[in-house]
Amino acid sequence: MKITVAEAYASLNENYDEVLTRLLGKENLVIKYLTMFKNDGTYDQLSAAYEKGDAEESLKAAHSLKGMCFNLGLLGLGTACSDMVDAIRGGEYDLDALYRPIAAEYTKVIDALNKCLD
Amino acid sequence: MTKTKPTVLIVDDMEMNRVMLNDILESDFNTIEADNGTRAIEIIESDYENISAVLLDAMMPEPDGFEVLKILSRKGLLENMPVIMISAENSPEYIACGYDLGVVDYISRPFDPNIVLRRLSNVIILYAKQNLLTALIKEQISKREENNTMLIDVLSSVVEFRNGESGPHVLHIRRLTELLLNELQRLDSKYYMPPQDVAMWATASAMHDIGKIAIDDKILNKPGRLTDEEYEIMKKHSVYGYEILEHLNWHNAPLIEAAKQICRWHHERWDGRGYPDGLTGSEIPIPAQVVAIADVYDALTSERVYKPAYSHEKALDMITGGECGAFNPDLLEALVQIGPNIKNKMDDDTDQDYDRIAEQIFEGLREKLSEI
Repeated sequence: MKITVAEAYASLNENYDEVLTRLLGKENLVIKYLTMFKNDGTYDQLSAAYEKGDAEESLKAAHSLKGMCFNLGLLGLGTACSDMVDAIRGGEYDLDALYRPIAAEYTKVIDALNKCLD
Repeated sequence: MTKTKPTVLIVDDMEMNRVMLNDILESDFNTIEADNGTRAIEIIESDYENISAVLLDAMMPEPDGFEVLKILSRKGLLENMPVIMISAENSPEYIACGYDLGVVDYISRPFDPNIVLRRLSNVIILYAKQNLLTALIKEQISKREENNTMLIDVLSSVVEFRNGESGPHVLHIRRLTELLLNELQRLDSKYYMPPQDVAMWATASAMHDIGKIAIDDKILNKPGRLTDEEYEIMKKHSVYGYEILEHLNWHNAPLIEAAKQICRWHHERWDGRGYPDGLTGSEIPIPAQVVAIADVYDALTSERVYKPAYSHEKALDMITGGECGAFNPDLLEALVQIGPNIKNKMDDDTDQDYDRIAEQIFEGLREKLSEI
């Protein structure tokens, strides 16, 4: 069953109005970016880097993902990415513990997007 | 005036970021996109004149935004082209690093499209104004310089004309003075002087003989040898020139001070046997020494009623052989180094010099402005 973008954001506990206002009130633009986000390969790069235990590459991918998420108001996922960036930069980190919340948030976001996008 | 949209280069490795910026900008700007730093530098180098601003992502695969800034700065491409950095990175150290490397503004993600547009427009207008101002100031300075130089040449030539000197003598002295001052500092850094000073001394050199205006025609234009008494009067032109300028009451005007030195001391000799003050060696200011040798060289290589124009080689032989006075060895070396093309170089026009001076003055201005 298809839901609206606003409903998808609500299910993720994200603020859709803020995103819409920031993107000049144009829902078609929001949908365009969300579609690009859904098809973007950055999360796969992050997962691959994580599988290899490559912290440097994980950081780069997490940073890119964070930028996209913040632009789209996907703060849950964005914050999880941000935590990874900060921790790896800080030098003391557990890659597993950082990756798990990202994977969980990402799955939630993609599920929601699948329901609202064609 | 046709209104063309300014061109903005968007540099970001993430497609979504480029698309987003493009959507924001497309109604007001032409956009070009680069998906990595190397490509961005290529585009900037080939299309520098057309790019009004760059939006640069900080975090990219090599070279990242900071690397790109360093390269642009090294190539001198940041001077007239504003770069705004965009990043999801908000730590103060990160932002400071961007500013240190020459970005004019820093926008963090997530950004508000209207603010991006405003900041971008402001920066572009600011830079456009600055570039326009640079061009204007350059033009005005060069025009004023040109008029000043022309006036000095005209008046100095009037004196030379009365003296039966050839028309281009003043121009030759000016050019030779410049060539020699530049060559001297190339040979030895102790002779260094900033380019605007070289230009000033060259202008002052045109006035070296203005004191002859106060010498009686009968002596000035006497065919044949001067008596000892007449020669003593003739020699006074150096002091007369100095006094004429002294009485202008333009004290502390650097050009006048320079001309005073040149008028008074361009007949001094390295061995102390010149006039009017019998200064020796380095007591004689370098520019006065330069004008002295330039004066002799031009007299030798120009035609006179009593002599043909000697070749460069013959003139050099006579000067280095001590037949025409005694000079600073460094100055003789400089004259030799400039070489046989000296005549052509003497006739070169000096337009580039105006540009150079303007550029320097503007640099100074800009430094002052940035301190405010």
